[in-house]
Amino acid sequence: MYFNLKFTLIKLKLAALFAFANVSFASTELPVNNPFTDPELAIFPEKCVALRQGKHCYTKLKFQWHAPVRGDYCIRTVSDQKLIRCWYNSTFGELDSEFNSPEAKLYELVEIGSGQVSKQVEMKVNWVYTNKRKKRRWRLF
Amino acid sequence: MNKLTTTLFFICLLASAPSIASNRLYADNTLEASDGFTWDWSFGAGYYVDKNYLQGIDYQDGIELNINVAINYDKFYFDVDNSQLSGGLTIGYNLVDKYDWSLDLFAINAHEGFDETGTFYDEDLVYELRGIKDREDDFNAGLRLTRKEKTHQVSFELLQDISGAHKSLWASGFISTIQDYRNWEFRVGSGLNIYSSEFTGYYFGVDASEVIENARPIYDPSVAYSVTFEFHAEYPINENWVFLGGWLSSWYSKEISNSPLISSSLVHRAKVGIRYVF
Repeated sequence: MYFNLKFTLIKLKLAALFAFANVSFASTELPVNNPFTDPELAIFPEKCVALRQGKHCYTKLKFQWHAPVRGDYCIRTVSDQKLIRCWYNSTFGELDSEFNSPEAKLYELVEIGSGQVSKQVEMKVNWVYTNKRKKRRWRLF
Repeated sequence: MNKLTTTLFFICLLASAPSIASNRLYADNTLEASDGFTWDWSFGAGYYVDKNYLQGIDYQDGIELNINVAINYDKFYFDVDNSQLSGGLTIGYNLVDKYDWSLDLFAINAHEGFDETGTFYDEDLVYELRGIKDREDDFNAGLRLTRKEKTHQVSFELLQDISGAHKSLWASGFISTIQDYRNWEFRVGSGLNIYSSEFTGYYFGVDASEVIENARPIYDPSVAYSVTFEFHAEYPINENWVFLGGWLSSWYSKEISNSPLISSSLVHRAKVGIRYVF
């Protein structure tokens, strides 16, 4: 549900963007600092829970993105800039993927031609059991 | 911690079910030496189904609540884990830990007693067991030699009952492995237990005072053995809740299964539950 809300927000932003673009049709270029000019990337879920610290965490991971300007967009990891999937001459896309990592990963959407990137999204990895149980003072509750 | 919480806490600890507690492979290594003082606790609930081997008791099922505590102080450890079928109470001291081998001095409760109402879970008189003397839970102290290699473990134990129940020696060997599949963790283990004639006589023998003509003859068993198999699975529901499921089967040799008090050589127990981890 959270993802749907987030995705709806992206859609609303895009609708506002197009409305803004139509009103100010005299200017064909959007202001550089306008937040609506950035492509947006969302993931669901945003957290994976493994049983033990250090173990790989597995879950299905869904990407959704929208961009105000048609272009060649790729989703990539931030750490090593490894491309996950690209869409050519598109303004939106979806990808069902598989997350498999012992640690959190950051993703971003990049427009290949301009190098413009979206805000980074993080897939967190949490766990139930830590490797070394916490040292605690002698206090039960 | 209020008085009620304290009371519940100790009731759960004391009501720990005897089982093959000490020789399973713990993925979280609660039965190993620690650096200084550490402790952890969790609580949970589970639904169990039990196919018993006692005469007059077929299947039992029910809901169990449990509190699990692991305390380590350097080479000392204290562990109560009733969320797993092979859990129970274990107190130990690590004497040697070298080259993947460890030698521990330890104590466990391992065998569940019974009386004419059956096991711990029963309250009503079981007709087939009427008139038998109470068989108490045992509490054993001894040595355990363990060889551990990453996800595999083999252990050998020699134990002496110090509770005054059967007052005898028994030995156990257990091999277990932990494997992952995606976010699941599975433990599979198998063991062999060898019991002295004092042990089998105490739990499964029938003496003159317990004889019922044409129904329960005198029975004086000799040395016996049993083979156990355990399967245990855990899955993280979220950062604090874990799903647990398990199956524990034991097969008893004819010296035990031929007892007039016993109806089957096989005992099965299955359990599913959840555990909250702090």
